[in-house]
Amino acid sequence: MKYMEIRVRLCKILILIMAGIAVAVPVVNAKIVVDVNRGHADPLPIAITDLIGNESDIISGGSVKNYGQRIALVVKADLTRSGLFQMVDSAAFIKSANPLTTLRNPNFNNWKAIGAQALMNGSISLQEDGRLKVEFRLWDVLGSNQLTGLRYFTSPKNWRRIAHLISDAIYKRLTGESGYFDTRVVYISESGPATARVKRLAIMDQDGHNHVFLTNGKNLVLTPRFSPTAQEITYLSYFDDNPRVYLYNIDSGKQEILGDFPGMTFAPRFSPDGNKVIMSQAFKGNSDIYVMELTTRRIQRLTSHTAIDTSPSYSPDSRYVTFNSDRGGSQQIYVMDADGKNIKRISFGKGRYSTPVWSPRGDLIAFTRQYRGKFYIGVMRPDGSGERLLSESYLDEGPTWTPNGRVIMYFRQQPYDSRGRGGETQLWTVDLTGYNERQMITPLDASDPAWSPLIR
Amino acid sequence: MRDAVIISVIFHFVVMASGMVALPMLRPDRPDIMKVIPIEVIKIGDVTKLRTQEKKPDPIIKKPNKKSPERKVEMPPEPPKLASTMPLPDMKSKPKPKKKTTIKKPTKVTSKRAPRITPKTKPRRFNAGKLAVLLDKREQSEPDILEKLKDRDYGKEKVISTIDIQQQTLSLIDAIDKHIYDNQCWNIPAGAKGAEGLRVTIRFRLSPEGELIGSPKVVDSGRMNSPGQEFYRTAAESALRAVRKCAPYDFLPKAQYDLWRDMEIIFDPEHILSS
Repeated sequence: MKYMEIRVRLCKILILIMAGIAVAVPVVNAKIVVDVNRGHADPLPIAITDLIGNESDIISGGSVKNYGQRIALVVKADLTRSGLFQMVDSAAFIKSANPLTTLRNPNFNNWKAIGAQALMNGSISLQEDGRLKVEFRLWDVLGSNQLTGLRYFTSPKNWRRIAHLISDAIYKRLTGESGYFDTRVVYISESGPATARVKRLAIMDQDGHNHVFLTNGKNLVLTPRFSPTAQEITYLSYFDDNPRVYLYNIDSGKQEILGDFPGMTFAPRFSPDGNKVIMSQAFKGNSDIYVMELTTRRIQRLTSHTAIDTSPSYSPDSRYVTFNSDRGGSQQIYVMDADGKNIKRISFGKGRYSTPVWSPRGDLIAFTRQYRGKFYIGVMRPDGSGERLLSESYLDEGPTWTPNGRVIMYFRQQPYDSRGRGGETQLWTVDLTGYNERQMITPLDASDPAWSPLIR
Repeated sequence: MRDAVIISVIFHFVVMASGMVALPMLRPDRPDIMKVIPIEVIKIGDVTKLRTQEKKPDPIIKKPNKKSPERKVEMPPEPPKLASTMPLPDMKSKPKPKKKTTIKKPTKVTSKRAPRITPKTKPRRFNAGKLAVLLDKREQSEPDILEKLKDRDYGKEKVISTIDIQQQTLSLIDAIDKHIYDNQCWNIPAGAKGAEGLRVTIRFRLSPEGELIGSPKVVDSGRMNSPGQEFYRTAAESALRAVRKCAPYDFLPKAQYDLWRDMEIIFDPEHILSS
């Protein structure tokens, strides 16, 4: 009997334990799970404040405070041009009694109130050695925490570059990829009538400032391309009516002929490691693709076909080359192994495809497409899928990528009117969304741009 | 010997039970949530077949009328369409003689509304076909999830079913998704490379007022801080911003607080970035 009683009691206890667990477990784990797969692609609202500086410290070009304001303006312009950020109007900023105290401890509620989701503040001061000390901090307003903070020491004449470096740091921290503001663009500056066009090699910062002509215009220059690793440009120039591929060192101003090839060489482009130049060479009426090692000057032929093969461009891992060819009857884009094997056509749309350029990210190839009297700049995946056209006009051509693969620059020619007026050429940029299309302002007409890698 | 067997059996049960507590991942999540959370809700039951079944036993309605007339006062907010589906003759006959003025109000309301939609046949018994029609109408004229959640009358449902809670949960999920979208809280990291790997889960706890308690957390925070995962970090930060920007979540019904106190939102940009 005792055993029976014990059993019954134990069973009761057991049932109670089990019931308790059955109730408790789900309550402990109670949570609602929401899947969100729709959102908005609006620019991120960011507040950029002037760098706080001393008005009484004067250096060439203005006071330190003035430099702080100018740096903030350049940062704002950079980020706005990217299309990914929206500047919060500085008129809405709530002034602090002592701005210096808020540098390390911003009042996030104030910034939240005016709609800012990110905030940049900072200071600038003059050092005893005549250099500027520039420091900034980037804050997550909603999370009330610092995202990044950097300090630079530089000569006052480099203030613009410091501003671009700050823009790059902000861009990288908020988008996850490298910025492209501390870069330059080399292009062909054009002037004069169509029958006697003067073409000069020119270089400028990516925002159009610090513009310099590199050649005097005596000889025709075409297709400039940046080296990915050094401040070098390769381009095609006609000297004594002979087209040759040249190397130009931006720092030293030195120029040299890359090679003396039989026939005509054109469309040169560096390999991603900067050790090779890939180009087209026309010989006896046939154009094929060649690659030259810069150290040994050894040349290797990659294609051998009766069709015109041109505009080669390496993939970022150097394993593949894309080029255009009319071997299929019309001009189309092809991809082959870096040794010239396994040639595959990847473009199959209507019209003609040309000037393929592999994105530095490796995920896309930019191209020019001509169809029904219009030109388009577009992108497709390296297997030819996912073609998207980003720009359209009377004549768009010659895409070049930013080092982060987010933006494409190209040149656009305006149509001629019935009196023969028009035909101006300009540089334009468009980002991968296709919505943020902007004109770059240049002193003269401009064509054939090439975006530099990040300046080191 | 017997003792040893009994102790052994108990020991095994305890081990199994503790396993259930310590290893909840062994069980499927959502069904458990549906089954057990004790909730007193909701008007969703107004349109389910289950609810009409609950209303069937007339005597149960009579008893509370006698003992607690206050509850009757809560009845008027019921939608007119439902009134028409209730056993009107019974309703008319019962409250009038027995209850005070407070009880008359609801009966007047129902009797005024009832004739408009009075069914031709006496709806003494449950009519599945008509309820199905009503259900359809409700779905078509669904006004706004947030409004519906706010307008709910929480105190009356007596029977909790799996389907009820499932519907409540779905309504909450819809409401939260809509709230995040309508208020433009989530700014997608546009153009990021590898969008298919940027699915971010944020976990957070809310107060009964819908305010965030503590900081929302990225579930895979280890990946967020790994080198080479900058795109994921950006995606995670945009998700965190979305959760913070959308607070407070004060539109959520307090009566269902147990359901939404702990929340996980999965932000998945793949469909948007790939389209």
